[in-house]
Amino acid sequence: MNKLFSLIKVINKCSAGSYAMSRKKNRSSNQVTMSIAAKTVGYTVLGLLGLGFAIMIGFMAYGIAPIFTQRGNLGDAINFVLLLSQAIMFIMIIPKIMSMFFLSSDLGSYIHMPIKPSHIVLAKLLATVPYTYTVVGVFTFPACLGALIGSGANPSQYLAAVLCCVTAPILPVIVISVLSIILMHLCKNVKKKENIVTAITYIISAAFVFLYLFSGFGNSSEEISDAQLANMAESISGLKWIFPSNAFFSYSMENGNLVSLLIGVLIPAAAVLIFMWIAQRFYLESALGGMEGGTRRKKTQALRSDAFSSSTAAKSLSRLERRTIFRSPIYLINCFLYPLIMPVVMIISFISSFSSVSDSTDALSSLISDSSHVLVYSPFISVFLAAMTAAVCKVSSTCISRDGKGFFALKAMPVTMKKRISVKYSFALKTNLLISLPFALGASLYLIIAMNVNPISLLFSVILSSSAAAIITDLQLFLEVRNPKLSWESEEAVVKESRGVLIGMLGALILMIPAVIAMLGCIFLGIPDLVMILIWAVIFLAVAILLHFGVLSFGAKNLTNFEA
Amino acid sequence: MIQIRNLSKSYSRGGVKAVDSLNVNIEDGKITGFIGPNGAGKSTTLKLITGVSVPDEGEITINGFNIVSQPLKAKEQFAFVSDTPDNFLKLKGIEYLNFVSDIYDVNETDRKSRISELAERFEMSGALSTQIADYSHGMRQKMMIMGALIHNPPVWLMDEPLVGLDPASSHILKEMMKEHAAKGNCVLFSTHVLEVAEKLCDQVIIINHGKLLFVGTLDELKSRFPGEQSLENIFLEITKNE
Repeated sequence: MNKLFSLIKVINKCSAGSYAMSRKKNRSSNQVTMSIAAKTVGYTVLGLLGLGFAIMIGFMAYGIAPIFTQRGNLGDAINFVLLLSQAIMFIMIIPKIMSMFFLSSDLGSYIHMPIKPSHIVLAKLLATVPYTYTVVGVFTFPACLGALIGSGANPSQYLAAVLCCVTAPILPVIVISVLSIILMHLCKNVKKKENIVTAITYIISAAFVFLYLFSGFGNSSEEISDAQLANMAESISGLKWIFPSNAFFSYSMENGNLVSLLIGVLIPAAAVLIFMWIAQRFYLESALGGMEGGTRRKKTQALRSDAFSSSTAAKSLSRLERRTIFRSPIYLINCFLYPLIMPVVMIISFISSFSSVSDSTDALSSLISDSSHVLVYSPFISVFLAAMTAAVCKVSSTCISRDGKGFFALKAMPVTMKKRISVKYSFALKTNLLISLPFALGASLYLIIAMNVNPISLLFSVILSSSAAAIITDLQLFLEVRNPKLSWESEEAVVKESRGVLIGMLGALILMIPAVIAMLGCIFLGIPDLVMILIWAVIFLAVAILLHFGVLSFGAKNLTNFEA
Repeated sequence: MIQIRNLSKSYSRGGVKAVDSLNVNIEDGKITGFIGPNGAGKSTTLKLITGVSVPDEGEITINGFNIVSQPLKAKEQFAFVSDTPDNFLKLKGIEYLNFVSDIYDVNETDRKSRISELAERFEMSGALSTQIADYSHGMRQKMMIMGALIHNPPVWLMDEPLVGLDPASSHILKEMMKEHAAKGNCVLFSTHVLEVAEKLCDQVIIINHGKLLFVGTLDELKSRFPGEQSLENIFLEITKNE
């Protein structure tokens, strides 16, 4: 048993791809105490948030359950909740399982040891437990429990709910594991398997985001009609063939049927046995074949005619940034593709929220014609869009960590730390603006052309959204220069361990406070909208500039003293 | 010439000193071997000399430029090969060499001839258009050495440069070190291989627990231990006593 637990630990560490932070050994006892305190507070807050979310879901289910019981489709609703939770698990564990079964980078650490193949496969399955049961704990279980309490269930129905929640993660884990093993068998000779993992993760994540947007999941409970529930269930109906046990569990939870419960339990149990049988026979063989296949060398290519062209140090550093991101699918997705989804998602959400009103253009026109302070309102969307895009974009929040050990190699070269940070900042800001400005300006132009808003709003949109993006970029840069993680094995660890997105999103929300103040100033104090928006723009610009020079100066000092 | 005065460094406040009051001159025209057991402080000293780490106390000057107060001028004076060649993996070999050339302001004509010369010597011409991530450990090490030497600086600092190199490349590098020192330049490298130090070095620096145990020529070292003839036995004796 100890062997199995040790193996799970090794697998978890290897698939996470990170080592301890290089700075830990330099910390004083005070810093260590602070770090432990911060972690304790962080985990407590996270735990409380999880608990709060679980309670909220539970109460929602409790409130809705009588409606569905009255309509006689509680089973359908539970089935939908189970499918949704398994879909969430699916997205959450794809990178983990792909890393464990498809990449199998951990195998090299222990394949030479006397460990049974069945133990290896079992340990890999068990390594996903913390992830899947988090979803069960905060979503599936409270939803089922709330629904059953709300519908006045009997003990056999509660038993069905408990067994359902215990077995819920099994099928998603097995389905992706089987997919990974098949992929591994097919891609034995592919050298950069990470690209395939990243592409699959991105496609599935994007598909689920769009599924969410178009299926109406965001509707409140009162608005959900039978037809809408059917539509929502239909949108993920394909999943019911992948997770067949749900139908039996939901039927058992609705009617307390023990035969359905037994079938519901037997299906995942049988899946585990079949998977273990398949995996023991095919997994290790494919994995070892893949490891050999990865050692192929590339053919020699002739140098281009401009191979020796010179450039300035700053341009060369910027080129290094660009190449590092574009040649790594993990960085490319997190630095470009995910941020690119953000404005699209926000615009679709915006449009879909207006679509609930009979004619969105009329609604917008009436809103604008009623107000005498449109100039202050109009850059609101542009600013929010730019700030949120900057928050999601990980160019700035991973800029030093991406260098890895190369950070120290560059430290021995004659380039000032200030210049290095400036280049990274400038690259991050340009990326953010490249992604968000077209959307921000598009929104402004629409208001100018369709709603006759003062054209000067375009200028303010540019100033305010650029400043907002700059502030968020600097905020993320600050976190990064404060404590970069330079010791890691896989690029995924750099992206995963970055807290920049969360802090960036909080920052984006805080940035909207001046906008609200500006609106209130116009409405209640009667300050002219042009004056108010001017003040807003000046404040944003001043904050952006001051923050930038502060972060630059702090970063240069901190990173000069940062040691291996 | 590298001058080190009262250099001290510890990695935790009040903890064990990785380098302890080190005083040494590394002279031009000589190959100096930096020898010591694992954890003796060799890599830390090299990191301090190159400005990768900041000293707690003391002063380091490279050809008269202080590494702390004049970092850019001092860094232009040396080439540094670190102990980990796994850097800049996303760049192709030629891109890495161009990048380093840009940082050191090497003009196009010089870089072209220097890259061609180094690539030919290390048999890397065919691998220049390949990404460094696809190189073997030895090829990465060769690429890092080529990058370090591309601006042809007067001082060479190398942390275990021969690790991972094939015999031919190892021989070429040793010959290059000899040529460079013969031109009146300074070469300092750390090694665990005492035979290499014995054959290659004009002087050796032995440290243990961050403290300087010996600095001088091999003949001077042997004269201190009349009974012992092999460097290995002398090294074991000197570090045991410490």
